[in-house]
Amino acid sequence: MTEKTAIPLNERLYRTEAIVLSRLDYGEADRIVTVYTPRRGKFRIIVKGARKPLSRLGPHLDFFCRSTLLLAKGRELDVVSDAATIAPHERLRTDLDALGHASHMAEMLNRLTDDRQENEAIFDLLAQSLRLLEDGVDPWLVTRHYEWALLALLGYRPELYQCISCGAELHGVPNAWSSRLGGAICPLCRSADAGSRMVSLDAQKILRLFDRQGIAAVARVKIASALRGEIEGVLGDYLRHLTERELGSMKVLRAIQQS
Amino acid sequence: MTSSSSGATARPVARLIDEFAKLPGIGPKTASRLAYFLLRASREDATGLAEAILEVKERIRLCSVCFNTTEADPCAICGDPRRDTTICVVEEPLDVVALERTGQFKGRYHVLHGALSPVEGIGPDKLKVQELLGRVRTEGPDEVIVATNLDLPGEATATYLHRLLVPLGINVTRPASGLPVGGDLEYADEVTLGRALLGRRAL
Repeated sequence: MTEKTAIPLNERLYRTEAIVLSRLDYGEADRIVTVYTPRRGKFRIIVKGARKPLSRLGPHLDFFCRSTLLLAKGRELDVVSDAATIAPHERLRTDLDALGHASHMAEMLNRLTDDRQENEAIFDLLAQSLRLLEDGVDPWLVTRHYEWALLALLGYRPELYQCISCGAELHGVPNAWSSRLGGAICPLCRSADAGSRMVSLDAQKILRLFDRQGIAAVARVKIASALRGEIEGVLGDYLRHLTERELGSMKVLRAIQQS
Repeated sequence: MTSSSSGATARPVARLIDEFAKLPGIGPKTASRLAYFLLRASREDATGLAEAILEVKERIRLCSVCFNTTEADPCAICGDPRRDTTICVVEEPLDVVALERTGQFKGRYHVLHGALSPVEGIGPDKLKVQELLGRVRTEGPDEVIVATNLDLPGEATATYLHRLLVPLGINVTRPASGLPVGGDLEYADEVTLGRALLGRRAL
């Protein structure tokens, strides 16, 4: 970083790290960018002239870019006055699978959080997940871990150990899964949610591994593609319930993969 | 938008303000200013604007070959026999205008009408990708230049098109990227600067 002794960081100017979640063209050449920051959570900022080829701000505020920003408080939206890239996540430009998964992570965060809610752990989770994608780690694994960890950090962690309906300890058998109630239910309580689905013992084991030991432990397990599909389906179903909509990124990813 | 539907504004004026407020980059304040400007403007000026809008909607359509906006179909560029068979793929009609201004390109264009962006829900089905593949198969171009933007959606689109076009035996290229003319080195981001170094030329 360059030293900026000439302009003291007064109350109007502040510095923050940020990761770009989405962006919107605005006016002649400006952009409104939604960022996630460690201390201020999610909010929208304006980048003047971002779309001009000579813009010295635009390249630092592309999708998923992790940057240090100097922001000036504005009447409605804060204005970017300086930017420097920390991690451009270049791989996402050429690896469409990684791009689709990164998009899903950003979209999910955008949908599940309100503006200006500080949560530094979420920032770290997003930064770490993007770095893993950049390093070429299996996008499926990175994304499922992210989903689980984000749900936990937001207070939506699904119940895996006790029946969400009767409270009895769950046994090592296929149990039911209720997105509406928020977790697994024992076979006896299955009728508590007519919309529940079955979740296999293996899927429950992997989810517990994510919960108790994190991504490194799951990375050591070989997960067959049918089981991957099941876990993705269970978490996807719960996400759909929470966001009350279909998340579009994964649909686009599937369309890209099929063509 | 019903921002202007309070009693202080006559209904036709409120309607005009609401219509202006739908335009990109126009907020409620600017929309009111434009509406009141037209209210004071001469009848000819106002009619001129109204007719220009209608004419654009009635006479302009997309070229069935390249999907650029045009009055005649096929458009003047697609119909020009002096143009060579190279196809230059761009995101928007305005990009064609920018490239034509350079005078460096003698081939034809293909306008995708956007770029891949999963976050915004824009997949291949929302772009003129199938149309491009159809054209490549029938026209057999020597080269396809993918001149989408150099931001993430543009680059992802280039990756995607490259994957589809290479199996067809097409030479797929991308315009060089690097330092802009008139730009200061110290302000360049590291991606641009890195590419500029990789793509350096002998003096």
